[in-house]
Amino acid sequence: MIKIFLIICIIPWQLWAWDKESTVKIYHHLFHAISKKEVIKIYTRDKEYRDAFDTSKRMQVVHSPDKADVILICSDKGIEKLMNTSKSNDVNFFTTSYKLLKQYPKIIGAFYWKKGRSQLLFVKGRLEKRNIRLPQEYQKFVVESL
Amino acid sequence: MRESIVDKFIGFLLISLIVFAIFLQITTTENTKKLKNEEILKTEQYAQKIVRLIELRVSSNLEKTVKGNDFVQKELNEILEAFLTKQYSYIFMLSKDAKGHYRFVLDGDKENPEEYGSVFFPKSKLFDKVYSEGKMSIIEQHDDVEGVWVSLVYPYMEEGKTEALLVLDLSREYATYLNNFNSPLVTVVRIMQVFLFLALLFLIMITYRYYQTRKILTKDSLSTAYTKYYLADFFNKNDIAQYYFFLVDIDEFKEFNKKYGNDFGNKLIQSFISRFQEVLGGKAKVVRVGTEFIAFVPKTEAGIHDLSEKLFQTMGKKYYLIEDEKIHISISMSAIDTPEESSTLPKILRVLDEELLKVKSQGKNTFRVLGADNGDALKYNDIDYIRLALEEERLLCLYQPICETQSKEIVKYEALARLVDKNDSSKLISPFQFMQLIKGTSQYIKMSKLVLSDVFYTLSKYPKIEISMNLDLDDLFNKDMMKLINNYLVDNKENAARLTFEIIEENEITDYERVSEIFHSLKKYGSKVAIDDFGSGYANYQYLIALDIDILKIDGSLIRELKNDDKRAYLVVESIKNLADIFNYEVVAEFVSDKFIYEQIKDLGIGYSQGYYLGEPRPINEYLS
Repeated sequence: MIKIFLIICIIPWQLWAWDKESTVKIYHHLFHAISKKEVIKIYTRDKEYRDAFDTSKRMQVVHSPDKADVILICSDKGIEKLMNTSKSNDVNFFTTSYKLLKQYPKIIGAFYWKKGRSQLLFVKGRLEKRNIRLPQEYQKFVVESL
Repeated sequence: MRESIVDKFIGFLLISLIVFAIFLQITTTENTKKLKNEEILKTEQYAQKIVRLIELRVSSNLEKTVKGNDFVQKELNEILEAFLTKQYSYIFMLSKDAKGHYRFVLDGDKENPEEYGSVFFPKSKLFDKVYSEGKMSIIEQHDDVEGVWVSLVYPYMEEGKTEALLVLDLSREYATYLNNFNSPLVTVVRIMQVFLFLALLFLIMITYRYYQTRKILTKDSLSTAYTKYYLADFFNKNDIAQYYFFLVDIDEFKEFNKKYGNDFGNKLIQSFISRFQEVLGGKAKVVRVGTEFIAFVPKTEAGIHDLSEKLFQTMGKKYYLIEDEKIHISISMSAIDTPEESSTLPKILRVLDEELLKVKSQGKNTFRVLGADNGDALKYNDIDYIRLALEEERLLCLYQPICETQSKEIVKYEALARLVDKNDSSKLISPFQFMQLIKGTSQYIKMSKLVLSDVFYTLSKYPKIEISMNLDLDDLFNKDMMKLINNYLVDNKENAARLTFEIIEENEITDYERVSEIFHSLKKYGSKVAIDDFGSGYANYQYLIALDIDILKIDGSLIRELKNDDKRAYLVVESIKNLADIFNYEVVAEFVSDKFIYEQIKDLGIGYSQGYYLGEPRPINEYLS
């Protein structure tokens, strides 16, 4: 009986853990394609993403945008300041919103949901500007205009 | 219930349960599928309506009309929105740009409509297929598309060319609603399936136990032999006429157990059974019943006689090495080549048993074989066959003359009962072939009644003849039998004095007083009593002392010895004759089969003779006509 109770308790936690793990894997794959680094330093203000990335050995959450390889923007709150304060030329902006991608030319790509489908999008001109060459598997997600 | 029927019944139950569970599953799946198809059909009709409504408002190219015209775009979006009821998650239209990327043209989402021209990756190659072929398609969505159950992709055509795709996403919530709609049936089916599954498990468990139990019942725990249950089961499925049977008994096996112990005895049995297999081959089966073994093997070209000889020599003549001890045993064996007709297992076993009994009574350590030509032994050793024969009164009394020795004049006839074969009226069946079977049964009384009836009828028909008939000693103690005889004697008092009862016995008399009383009652109306087979078995001198008898019939085996000119047999017969003379008994010599014997009987001065030399058993009219 105790075993059954434990299993019932563990299953939802395990499912959540698997979900989190797959999210981290996807983002690592994406950011590795952008930055070409094995261990990627990430800056994000979103707590949920921070907590998720913290669980990965190949993703390092940094607390200063200057130290980041990739800045993940999840909302437009303080975005102007963030973009202006970031002095490093190596940092790449990525977002979880199509709207922000369209609005801010500094952002090179986005991973977001539309009509229930996950969407990955890179803007060709912005990638070229930053000399980023994505692997072949990502080429189909590269568009010239939004 | 027969095992084969049980097997079939279990198989039928298992298959029925599985088929029923599958049927329920298919029924519910089909029902769900039907609901889904109805919904898809409705969606297709909506798609057609939407396209017609758009076409009504768009006179030329859709994209050109919508692009930059917020008013038209809003109006068209409202058409899509009108159809966006609770069963749909999304309704939108996409077109392809020059680079092959899909972009939004219209969106029915009122609250958060997608901007015209924004990029969209549909995550399905079927979109391209609909685009290129211009044919509607249904896409089953999975977990990678959130909240969408099924997508219907409908081509918007202009001049025979796909200009855009209308997408109607049926919501997963609606699928759940439909499933819930179907859920009472599904619940019932699930409960039934659980029940069926449990029943199936239970049945499998019961079946497993059944076969385990059957295995225990059919396999001898001590050896590799089978039990009698297996024997019955085997011949429910196989033709008994295709087999040779052997019944083997280890002589004095109890002595081995006493001398060496039970474990040793068990090992001997195991070796014994192994040797069976060695001699008879892998196809042979051995059944152990105590210290008796029934073996059966498919018929071979070697034949029953050679095989029996080989088996007897190997099983009984070669020593067994048990715990470094060389053990010599002897066996008694009966064997039968099962005839094609009238063969049943009980009959075969009974005949084997009777044959083995004969072997044992002859001193054991030998064997008897009934070849295929011994079919009659089986045919007539059948209580049902005898019952039918008696019911149909297929009984015939033959009469063998008893002659005055000197003159060969017939003085009496011995009535000898015969049954007539059902299919061949010329074939007569001797009581020896079935007497053991019916003794003690109502059939025996019935047969005796028929014989008595025939005898008294013959006595009344031929008033000058005398008849003797056999009566078993055991019959004297049978109330029904004695009542029957007394009734006949009372009813035929005038003929009773011409009747002689020849008493034959298989068991020793223990109560002479009682037998004496019975003899007295038999003689009450003038009948005579003869002692049959005197000089052999239990027929001894005590009879002469204790019983009131009239005639001594000297045992045929003694008379037969005279044929060999055996002096001692001659002297024995002479002494019986002399003794009978002293007691003033009449003496009859049986089995007078030829002139040589007859001359000696005549020479001995024995008063009466009976045998083939003087007359065969025949219908009475043949002697009296």
